[in-house]
Parts: sequence; C-alpha cells; structure tokens
Amino acid sequence: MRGLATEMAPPFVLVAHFFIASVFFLMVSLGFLPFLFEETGGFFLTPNLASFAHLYLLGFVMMVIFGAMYQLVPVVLEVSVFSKDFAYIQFYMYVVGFVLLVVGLYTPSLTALIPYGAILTYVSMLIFCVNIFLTFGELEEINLVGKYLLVATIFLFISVTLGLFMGLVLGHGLFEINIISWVKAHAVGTLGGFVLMIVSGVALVLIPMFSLAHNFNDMASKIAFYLFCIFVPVSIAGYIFEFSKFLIVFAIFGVAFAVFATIYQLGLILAKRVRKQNDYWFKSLVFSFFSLFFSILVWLATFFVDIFRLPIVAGFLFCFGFLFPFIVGHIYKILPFLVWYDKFSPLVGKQKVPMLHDMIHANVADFQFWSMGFAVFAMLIGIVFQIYIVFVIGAIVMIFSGGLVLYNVYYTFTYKIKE
Amino acid sequence: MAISEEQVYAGISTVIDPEVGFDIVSLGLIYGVKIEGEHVHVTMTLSTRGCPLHELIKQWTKESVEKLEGVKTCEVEVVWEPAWNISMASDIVKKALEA
Ligand code: HEM
Repeated sequence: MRGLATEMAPPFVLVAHFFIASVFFLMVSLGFLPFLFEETGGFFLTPNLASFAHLYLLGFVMMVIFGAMYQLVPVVLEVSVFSKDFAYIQFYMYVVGFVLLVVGLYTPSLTALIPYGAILTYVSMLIFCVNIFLTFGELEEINLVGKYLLVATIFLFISVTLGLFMGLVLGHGLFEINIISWVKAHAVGTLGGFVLMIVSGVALVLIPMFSLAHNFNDMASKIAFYLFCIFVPVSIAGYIFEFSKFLIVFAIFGVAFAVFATIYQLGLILAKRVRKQNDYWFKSLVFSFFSLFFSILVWLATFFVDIFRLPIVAGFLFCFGFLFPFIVGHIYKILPFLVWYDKFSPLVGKQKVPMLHDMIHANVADFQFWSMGFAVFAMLIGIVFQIYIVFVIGAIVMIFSGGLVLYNVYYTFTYKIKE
Repeated sequence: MAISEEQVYAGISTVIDPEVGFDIVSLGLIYGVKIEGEHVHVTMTLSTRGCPLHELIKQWTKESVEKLEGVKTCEVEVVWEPAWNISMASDIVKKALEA
C-alpha cells in the first residue's frame, strides 16, 4: 500500500543529528560575525569571507537541508530513503570534511588542508546525491515538489564538483582556472540551483501544511521551476566558458525571475491561509521573503553599477535576512513534530499529550524574531554606511538572537508533560 | 443494541490533530460513517496530502472507534476527493483559527 509515510520516515536520531549539528554550527558561525566588519568593505573573495561563508552555509544551512530532506523525502514522495546507513556515513564524513575545508580556507599556513577537506566534503555530498537519486529511482511518477528536489540535487552535484576543482587548485595549483568566474558559477549553482530550488519545493509542501491554505493556483511555481531549470545551467556555463556578458546577464535575470515567481507563489499561498495567527513562524516567513526579494534586486544591480559593497549587501541579505529567519521559523515547526512523534505519539489515548505549539516557548520565539530583525537592520546600516560600531552592535544582537533559538531547541528536546 | 452514528462521531472526536489543536470531527475531516452491525466503516480525509501524521491519525481514528461498546472492527479509508477546505470545519474552529 502507498501512503505509509510515517512508517517510511527515517529514525528520529538520524534527523536529530543533522538538526543539532546545524544549530551548533549556527552558533559557531554567529560567533565570528562581529569580527567580519573589515571584510564588508570590499569584494567577496577573501579567505576570511570564503571560510565564514562555508562555515555558515555548510554548517548551518546545508546541514538543516540534509536533515529536512531525509525527513521530508519519504513523506512527499511516499517511498523510504534508499539507505539510512548512507545517511549516517554522510553525516560524519561531512562534518570532518567541511571543518577541514573551513579551517584551510581561513588559515593561510594551512591551505594544504583545503584539498583534503574539499575531497571529504565532496564525497559526503556525493553520497547524499546518490542516496537521493536512488530514492527517486524507485518512483514511477514524480510530482512538482519531487521534480524540484531532484533537479536541485543535480545542480548541487554540478556545483560542488566545481567547488572540488577550486579546492584542488587553491591547495596545489594543479591547473589554471579563472577562479573568480568559477566562484561565481559555484555560488550561483549552490545558492540559486540548490538552496533556492529546495526552498521553493519544500515550501510548496510546508507552507500550505502549516497555514492550512487550500485551492491556490500553483502556476507561478511551475513557471519558476522551468526558469530555474533553464537559467541556472546557462549561468553556470556562462561563467565557466566565459560567454558574452550580455548572455550571462540574461541568464542571471532568468534565475532572478524564477526567484520572483517563487516569492509570488508563496505569497499567494499565504494569502489563502486559513490560520490567521501572525505567530513567530508567519512573521519569520514574511521577513525572509522581503529580504530575499531585496537581496536579488541588489544582486541584479551589481551588473549595472560598480559599487564595491553591493555584492556583500546582496550576500548578507541572502544569508541573514532570508536564510536565517526562513530556517529558524521552520525549525520552530518541524523540531516539535520530530520530538513529539518520537516521545509523545506512543502515549496518545493513554495520557494527556502536548500540542506541537506547546513545545516551543512562544515569547522567546517572538523575542528572537524581533531581535533578529533589529540585528539584520543594524548590520545592514553598518555595512552600507561603513559604520563599525553599528555593525558590531547588530552582530552581537544577532548572536543573542541565535542564543534564543538555541534555548528553544533545548526547550523542545527536553519538554516534559506538565502534570 | 447497535451503535449509533452519533456515538461513533463522539468516539472519533477524541482524536486530536496535534498540529492544529482541534479534534478531527470539528475540523471536518470525517466524511462519512457507515455502520454494518458490529463493523464500522469511516471515510475521512486529511488537511494536507504530504502530512507526516497521516498514518498515525488514521490509526488513532480506528482505535477510537474500536474502543466503543458494540463495535468489533473498524476500517478507515482516507480519500482525497473532495479535498478538504476550511468551510468543512465547525464554526468554533473557523473562529479560533482566524483569531
Ligand atoms: C564540496 C563542497 C564545496 C567545496 C569543496 C567548496 C569550495 C569552495 C571554494 C574553494 C571556493 C572559493 C573560495 C576562494 O576562492 O576564496 C568557494 C566559494 C564559495 N562557495 Fe563553496 N564549496 C563547496 C560547497 C559549497 C556549498 C554547498 C555552498 C552553498 C550552499 C557554497 C557556497 C560558496 C560561496 C557562496 C562561495 C563564494 C563566496 C566566497 O568565496 O566568499 N559552497 N567554495
């Protein structure tokens, strides 16, 4: 019989590995934020920034995505993940690999570590990709969400392969490449091709589920899907093979429109929501969509005006205005479910069990949202006007906001039924 | 004495959706109940297709009916047509969600 989604779900401990590690690396990366001001004045290719970007993106963002994928793929596709052992191996290899990579990128005397870190990270991601591809191999029919996840994983594979080559070049200078173009191709592939497509696909399930929205038109997300499919590869190829600037800009606009269509789609779903409470989840989502929109606008502007700080502003808005609240908002929804399912679902009917929202401290989550909003705003002002103190205050408030996330994660894991 | 439909509904209404916080009868997820002697057939839906609680809610529904006196077996069938929407929920639920 199909539809035994929960029986196909991976073990709680597996998914918990990824969630706990992601919050841990979130805190570690936020700890470096106050020291990054000097990097925000110029272009984005400094060792500090590269290492910070990977600490945050691989340690927090990708980690959470991997965990969520292992949890969601069985539910969305109604098959079990091909191999759970693969997932454990991937986890440990990944942690060792990306930490080596980050340390190598950060420390000039340790650049020799980069290739080792790059290879380990790469192999661990290959395991992930293969696991996902094999899972898809068991399906007869793939729905739109499935298509998003599948194509995103293909793009991940392509872009980390570029990352591997860059890692080898940086460590050993094995062959000549135009590193700046390759970094751009790699960034568009990982962030545009993988992260944004995963977000678009996953949100198509999660947002209606949490908001109880129904009967919405999903045309925009279909259009977005095809735009991603066409223009992400063209952008990557454009940078690597050094197409004409016009073609590259055209392709980048294609990707940007895919993102705009996604934002429109998700807005449309939220407009149809039945649950009208403006809770921490809803506020985080709205904030993240606005940030994403502005981040893309600024990114497009970098092709027309040559202001040094624009790429930094776009990247900053993307990482902290968009990814941070989007992910945290969903951690507040998904983590209680995971813990509840493991701990309380066997007790249903036998004793009183909590509701999922009981397992998040709502006031702390609310405060976390507002402090995050303040922090993003302050850091943005600090970057744009190059005011050190404002940036540092923002960064410290951001650490505080991260601490509140940590508190709620702890709260959920240790939640006990009140007598 | 044979069990009545009201009694079956009352039994099912002890099943709570832990995400939304309401029982599944008030949410309007139960489409029909057929009683054939000591066997009960329940037709229901879920609010979202990709709902990870799918199997559990189905299981709880079955258990809640089989617990009732006068019922031996219960079969729960999950259907997706017609798709659930908020107009199927009770007024109390509608009000609470909008608040
Ligand atoms: C096997 C995995 C990966 C390897 C080996 C790798 C390696 C690299 C290398 C060597 C660079 C150039 C750094 C420099 O020249 O200073 C780079 C840049 C970059 N990577 Fe990765 N990467 C990997 C995965 C990822 C993923 C999954 C993401 C995003 C989710 C990502 C995001 C970025 C970004 C945004 C940049 C440009 C930003 C910057 O250099 O400051 N990378 N990567």
